Parts: sequence; structure tokens; C-alpha cells
Amino acid sequence: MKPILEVRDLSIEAGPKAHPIPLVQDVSFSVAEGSTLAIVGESGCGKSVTAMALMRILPEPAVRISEGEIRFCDEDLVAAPERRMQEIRGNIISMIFQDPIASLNPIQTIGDQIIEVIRTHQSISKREARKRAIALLQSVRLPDAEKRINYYPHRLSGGMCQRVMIAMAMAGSPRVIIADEPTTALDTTVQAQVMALLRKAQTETGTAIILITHNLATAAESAKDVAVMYAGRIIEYGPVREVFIAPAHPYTQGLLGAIPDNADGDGEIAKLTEISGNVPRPGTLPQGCAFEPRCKSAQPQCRQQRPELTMSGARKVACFFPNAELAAQ
Amino acid sequence: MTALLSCRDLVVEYATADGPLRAVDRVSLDIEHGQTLALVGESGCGKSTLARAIMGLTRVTSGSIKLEGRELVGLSAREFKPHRPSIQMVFQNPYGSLNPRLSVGRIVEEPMLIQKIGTSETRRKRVLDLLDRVGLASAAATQYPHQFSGGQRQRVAIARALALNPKLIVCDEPVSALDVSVQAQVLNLLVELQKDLGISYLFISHDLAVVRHIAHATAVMYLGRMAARSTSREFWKRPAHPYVQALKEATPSMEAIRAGISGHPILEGEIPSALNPPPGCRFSPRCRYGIDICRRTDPPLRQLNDRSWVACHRVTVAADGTVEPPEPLTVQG
Repeated sequence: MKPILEVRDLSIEAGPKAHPIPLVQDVSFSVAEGSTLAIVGESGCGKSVTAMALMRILPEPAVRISEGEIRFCDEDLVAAPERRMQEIRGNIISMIFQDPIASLNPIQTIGDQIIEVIRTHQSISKREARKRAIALLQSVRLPDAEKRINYYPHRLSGGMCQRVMIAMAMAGSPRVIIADEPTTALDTTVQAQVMALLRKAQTETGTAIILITHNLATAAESAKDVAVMYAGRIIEYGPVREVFIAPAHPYTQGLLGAIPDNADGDGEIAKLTEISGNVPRPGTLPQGCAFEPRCKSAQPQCRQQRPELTMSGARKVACFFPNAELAAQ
Repeated sequence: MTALLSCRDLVVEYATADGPLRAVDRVSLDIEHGQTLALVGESGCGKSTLARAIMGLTRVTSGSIKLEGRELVGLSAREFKPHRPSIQMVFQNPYGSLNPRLSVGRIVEEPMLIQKIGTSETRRKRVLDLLDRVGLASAAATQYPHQFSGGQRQRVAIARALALNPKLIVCDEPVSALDVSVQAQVLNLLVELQKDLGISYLFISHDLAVVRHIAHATAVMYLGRMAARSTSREFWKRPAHPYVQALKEATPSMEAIRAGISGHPILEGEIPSALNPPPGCRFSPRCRYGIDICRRTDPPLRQLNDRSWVACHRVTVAADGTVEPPEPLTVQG
């Protein structure tokens, strides 16, 4: 399928222009209509900064796009003027944030907040907008939508606030939704509800979803493709089942091994696979592969040279010595 | 052998502007020597209040908490102090639970200072031993919390909890703030310490993958009540209680992905307010197996076999002792 949003060689940097600190480097991915791409990684890997860049809401000039393209249809959003971005935000690309309670204005009713979004993008009367807001809240299955539309956010639970955020994100019938850790702050059973809601919205409207998460299982359940980021770069990218069932990059392998799994049984508690060390901080990256200091299968070559993201079957891997099983295929 | 810690019919009520809120409602549990009891539940289920009650940090309304047979409920702060070394705690947020103005050495030493244990010389040696024990270099003692990553800070917090040779460590979501790769390091450390030192853990978590990995026994709470309890590691394989089933189904698991399973039934609704709990079984408004009796009477926690207890009217035990989860209701009309 034709990609609806395509990111090419995106780099993001911070700090003074003379000595910039790279946060994200040469990131490329694309997402097709009606499909979901998951971007996974640990804290500081650059996944949220990438999301903010797509919406062009980086705190410029402190953090800025230094290179690359973000192509929506035939338009490059990196070069788009702010006026055009205002049309795009909420209308074509919208975003759902991690903390639903903090993302809503506490001194405005949820109805007013949704109506504002609707009326920013469509010239319809307040009455019409209100009707549409109620319909949106009903579509995200907020109980008693007609009554709750007059509530202030503090009267709603975290799960309900996230429903309101999704309703708001859907208000402009966007082509792409960026969901940045949409369920991290929610309870387990409510997480499942919110993810189901996103999938439902996707099948109904054909919107593309970019799901940013640190939870590999959440990514595996909802996404078609996955991009694994480490220290500002994509290190493995491909179809979700393939990547998670037979990870090629040692970091992806390590991440999957570190998740407790299949641990039932009355025997001794098994030892989890650890990735030693810590995630490197931006600006302190080694010369070669960024994962080399923590990698079990590192070779001298890994220290001197940085592996490029190269095609290997249906996926791309940035490693000189990817999973041996995969090479045999 | 008696349990290390046992709670019986524990009730904790908070006074709120809208009347008393029963955060923990007649909860009983046992923590065995050298084992891990996982306490699972969603927000508002009372798991943190229960932990605070066990730590003696909140007033217990009624019921009993016994540590090796000695009653802890009703003790004054002064009377509680000699028991404190036995029960220590590791908190969720390693950024908020370490004093940023104290060196790591001083943080780990502090419990010993408070309990007036040893001389400065012996304490210093003990601090270095503890740091080594949790995998930190002795140089860490002179450094400050901000110089460490989240995982390393959690190691400091564990060293502090170990300082007084506790019998029980209450771990309140100890790995939820950590990255997956670091989470595994801390979980491995906890398991290793348990093996070597015979410590028991009360492990509070909402992460089923972690719980299934680390716990010998599990207790699931819902809205202040104990929904199910089991001393079997098989507990999650075939949960009997409808809420426990729902929790399991709601958790995305790599297991399911490998098996190619997708699309679980989704539990509707949210957790009701503890100020105004629903009548009968508290889970009944969300339960797909609910019948009339569930909406009228609160099911007591009953023993199914020698290892499991469940609070559900609809769970049955077959003649051969196998536990049968509720049958789906037949839809009429």
C-alpha cells in the first residue's frame, strides 16, 4: 500500500548550533493508510522527540530538525510554514499524549475543549459543533456523553480523559494519529479498552497510527510494523511478528529476553536475560555502534565503525553480526 | 510452620469529606518465610494502603497483622520501633525516595543510625558490604543520588532496605519506573537476594508479566476486597475468578503473539468509586458471568483447595477437585 506519511533521514539536534547534541539521527520510516507503525525503545532513545518533530511541535530553537524530510502526500512538512502546520495539526495529523489528565485544560469543560478543536478546523455553528462533540464522545464510548460534556476534566477518571483525548484527536478526521504512550498512565483493563478504541477508530476511518511505546507487547498486539530505536537511531525495522519472533539485532533480542515470560511452574525462578549497563545519554555516544559497550556479541569492528541500517529479508537491521539464524535463511 | 506475616480481616478506613472510605475491607493474607507474595490490582484497589498498614504507616481500623505471631496492630510509634528492622520498604520512584542531599553511603547508613546499631567503623564496613551486595562499586558511597541512573538508584534503595537484616521487604512497584533492560537487572537482584538471605517480599505490582515471574503466591484485590488468592505458581494459567481472567486477557503478552492469538474479550466499564461500592459482589457490574445472587450478596473468600481461595459465587469445584471457572451465561431471546 502507498505510504501516507513518509519520514526520510530525519535528524534532530539540541543545544547550541556550534556544538549541537544529536538526539535523533537518520531516522526513516513510513506508515500506510489504515495501518499501524509502532516505534519502540527505552527512555532517551528519541522516540518522543521524533513524534514531536512530525507535528513540528519541538521546542525550537532549543531542539530542532537539522536534516531530513517528513513527506505527507507530496508535501514536505519540514519546510512547511507555520501557518500551513496549523492547518495540518489536528486536521490531518493529530496527537494523543501520555498523560491524559495533564493534556486537558483543567479550567474548561471537556465539551468546550472539543468544540474549540472542531470550530478551529470547520466553519460550523456552535450548536452544530456541540452535536458533533457529543457524537464523538459517544463514538469513544464515554458513558453519559450528553451529561459529561459539561464536566471539567477533574471529574473524569484517567481512562475517561484518554477517551476524551481520542475524541478530540478524531475531531478533524485526521489521516494520521500519533499516539505517544497512550496507555502507559492507565490501569490494565482500561489500557485494553483504549487500545481497542484506537483500533476501532482506525478500521472505521482508515486513519494511519504511529504508536510510540516502551511496551513491546502492546506494540506487538496493535502494530503491523515496528521500528526499534536505540540511542537516537532505528536499529531494527520490519513486520512486527517477524521482528519479535526472530529478532535480528542483539538489542532487540536483549529487550525481548528481558521481558519476563512463560514463567509459570513450581520450579526455581529462572534468571532473566539482562542487558548490562545503561542506556547512553545523548551526546556521549561511542564512535562505533552505539550498542557496542552493552553488546554480548560485539567484535572489534563494532567499536570502530557504525553499522548502517541495511535490508535483510523483509526487514532492516543495523548490525554487522545480526542473528545467525536469520543469516542462514 | 507459621507464616512470617499474617493479616486477618484487616480493615483500613479513611475519613473523607464524603464520609468514611473503606480502602481495605476485611483482607486476610499470609506471607511465608523466604517467599514472595505478589499483590496485584488496579488503582484504587487498596494495595498501597494495605502495604502502608503492614509498614505501620497508616492507622488500622480493625483486624490484625501478626509478624511471627506478634501483634502489630494497636502499637504506638515507640512500641512499633523495635519491629521496624524486620519490615523494610522499597518504593516505586527511585528519584523521589532517596534524599538528594545525602551521599549514598549516608543513605544506606541511615537506618542503622536511627536504630543505633554499631559504631561508625562497623557501620562504614556494613555500608560497603551492602553496596557490593547490590552490585555497586564502593566508590558509590561518596557519590550523590543524582549521579546515578534509575536502575542504580533502585539498587541503592535495596541496599538501604537490607541494612537492618529485614525479614520482609515491601516492594511497592519497584521496577515500574525502570526501562525493560534495567528492570531485568533489578528483578534478578531481588531473586538472588532472596535465595541468599531468605528474605520474604510483599511485591506490589500491576505488571502481570513481572508478577508471574517473581511470585510464589499471589493475591488479587479489587476495590478494597480480596478477589482471589493462591499459593500456586500455576495461578495465572487458568484463573478461576472472572476479574483475574479479565486482567490476564487485558495484558498484552508475547506468549499470545507467538501463538498468533489476537482479539480478547474486553472488560467494559471502570472501577467504581470506593466511597460508594456497588452492592453484592463489587465486580458484578462489570462481570460477564454475573447473576442475581452476585448483585445481592458479597461473596466471601472461600477455599477451593489447599492452595487457592476465591471470592466468587460462580466458581465451582468438581468432584475430582478441579476448579471450574464460571460458565458463560446463555443469552436469552
